Amino acid sequence: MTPVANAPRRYFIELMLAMALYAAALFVRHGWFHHTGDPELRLVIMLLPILPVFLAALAIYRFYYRMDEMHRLQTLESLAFSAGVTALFAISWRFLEDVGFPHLTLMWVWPVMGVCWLVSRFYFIYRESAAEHAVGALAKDIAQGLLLVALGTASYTLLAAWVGWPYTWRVLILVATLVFLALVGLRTFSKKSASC
Amino acid sequence: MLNKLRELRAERGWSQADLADKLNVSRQTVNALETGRYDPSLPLAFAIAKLFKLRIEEVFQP
Repeated sequence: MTPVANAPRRYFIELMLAMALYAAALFVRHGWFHHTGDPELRLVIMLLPILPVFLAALAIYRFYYRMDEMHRLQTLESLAFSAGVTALFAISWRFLEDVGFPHLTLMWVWPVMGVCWLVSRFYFIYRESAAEHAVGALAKDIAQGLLLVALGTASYTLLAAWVGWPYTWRVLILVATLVFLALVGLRTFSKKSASC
Repeated sequence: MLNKLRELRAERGWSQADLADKLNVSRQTVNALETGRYDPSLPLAFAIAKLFKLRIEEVFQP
């Protein structure tokens, strides 16, 4: 398998490892924070999730340099689109806050960028599928993906309710994201030819 | 930019995936090149011409 063909598989493994570490760091942070009195250890626990976030960024960076030139160009276009929309959103929202809209923290920049990124990626995937007359297959893939995300979130909610875990929307979104990433990885492995 | 990639590939009996492997690009990129949706960089265009043992202007026309 050539480096370009193998790139999605390596990216998937690296990203899933980073995401698993991130999930573990969140649980450690949530569970251990109140059980330690050492201020230095508390600081380390508080900042623990930053490390896997950097690992995830490193996985994306490595994937970018393993792509072929067309997908690298598409990635840059997606980044430009998401950065532009996020800048427009940030500036507009600041003015909207003055007329009564709720105050948003810097944390919201990432979800806005992420959604814009996904939208632009779906646009490119749709364009490629349309050129290859595979829009029906793409629609089926998206429907199956959404169904799996819904089922993953629902099963976690039921499990959490049954076991008595406290759960928040952030955890649910994390679980849904992990399920979605797993689906993307499985799709990548199942196809004879990789997407990039 | 026009190109003869599809004809050249068909003459050799290669699939898009075969050509993608030989050029170390994805199959989607080969498809985009063949349908004219993507113009290759100079290094990739030279690699394609070298693979088919042709001059670059024999594969690509402006």
